[in-house]
Amino acid sequence: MVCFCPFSGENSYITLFMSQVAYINARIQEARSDSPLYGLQPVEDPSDRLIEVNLAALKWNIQQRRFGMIDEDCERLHAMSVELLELLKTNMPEKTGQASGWKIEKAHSILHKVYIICIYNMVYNTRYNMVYNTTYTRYNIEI
Amino acid sequence: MVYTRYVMVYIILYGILCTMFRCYIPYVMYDAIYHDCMVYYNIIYHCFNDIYHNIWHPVIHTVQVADLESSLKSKLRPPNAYRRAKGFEYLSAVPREELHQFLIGLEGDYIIPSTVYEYEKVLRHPSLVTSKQGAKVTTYVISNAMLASVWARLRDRLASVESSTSMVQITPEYASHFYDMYINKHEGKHLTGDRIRILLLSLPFVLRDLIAPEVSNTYIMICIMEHNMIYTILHSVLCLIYTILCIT
Repeated sequence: MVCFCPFSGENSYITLFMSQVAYINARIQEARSDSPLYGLQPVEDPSDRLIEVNLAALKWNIQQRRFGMIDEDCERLHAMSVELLELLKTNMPEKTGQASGWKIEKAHSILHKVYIICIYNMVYNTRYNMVYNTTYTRYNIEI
Repeated sequence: MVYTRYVMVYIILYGILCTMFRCYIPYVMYDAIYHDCMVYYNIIYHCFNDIYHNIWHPVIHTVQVADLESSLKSKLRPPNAYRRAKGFEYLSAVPREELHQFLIGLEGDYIIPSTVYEYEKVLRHPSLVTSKQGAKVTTYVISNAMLASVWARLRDRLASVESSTSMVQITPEYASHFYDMYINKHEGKHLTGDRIRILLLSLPFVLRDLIAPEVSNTYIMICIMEHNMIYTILHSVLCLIYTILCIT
């Protein structure tokens, strides 16, 4: 027989209105000495640092897609690349469970973005659909 | 439909001639062949055109350049010195394009899964268990149902993004696809670069108060109740005062 108590337990009405972090902290606070939760530090919401990383990624993407970038823009982009990489290391240190998980080529390739822009002028010149567009256009002209 | 050998030979020769001269020859014998023959003509024409551009033209070009180089006794196309550098890898030296470098490469493959992982790390930390050590079944403080409600909330928030207010439209199907790909970790689910960009634009703004409400629903409910109660009390008091004033 399943007993449903509206004021206690994880499926009660109270927990429906309670956030997960608040629920964990409440359980830690009310834990007795024989409980595994006794003496644990209260947990914190990681949303702020995760939003910081995601916003940095969004800003970096907007910056590297700008038309007609000049020296100051490239310097800013490189500073943002360094900042994004540092944020990834500090705010998401384990990546998806690996120690020093950000030592990968794709993460560090954002540091070479300014170099690529200096050589190829802008990001759109190295985009995948640019190749197809030019090839197709040339093919049509030759016919 | 039966075609005569003469017609087929004519079509092939016609394709070769068009390819060689790189133009359409007027159809002098159009009335003599069936109209459906033009379908076969188009196929053959494009086949020969492809052969001309990809095989014949480069061969001719290479031969001509080699002849000129031998006559001039100098290289018209000197080899690229970078390719002879020690440790040089041609494929790793080509520029990274935006799709595989950032959108799918970094954002889609690493940043979004890491975001999900960080939430799971907080909610399902190994120390946050209620079962005793050595128990056969591990009972977490945050049950499966509570954890599923977090991801369902994230999915519903994504599905609620609409173009009239956010200038980005996310359909429920897209949100379900996101749920299957990143939460259920379905290996057969993928997102294109443009769809990852939609996620890049919207995800930072739907993570707020996902597991720790900034303004909780209960708080809003209590505020509304208080507002209604205060309004009712004030209204009653004012009506009473007005009635008393009218009587006196």
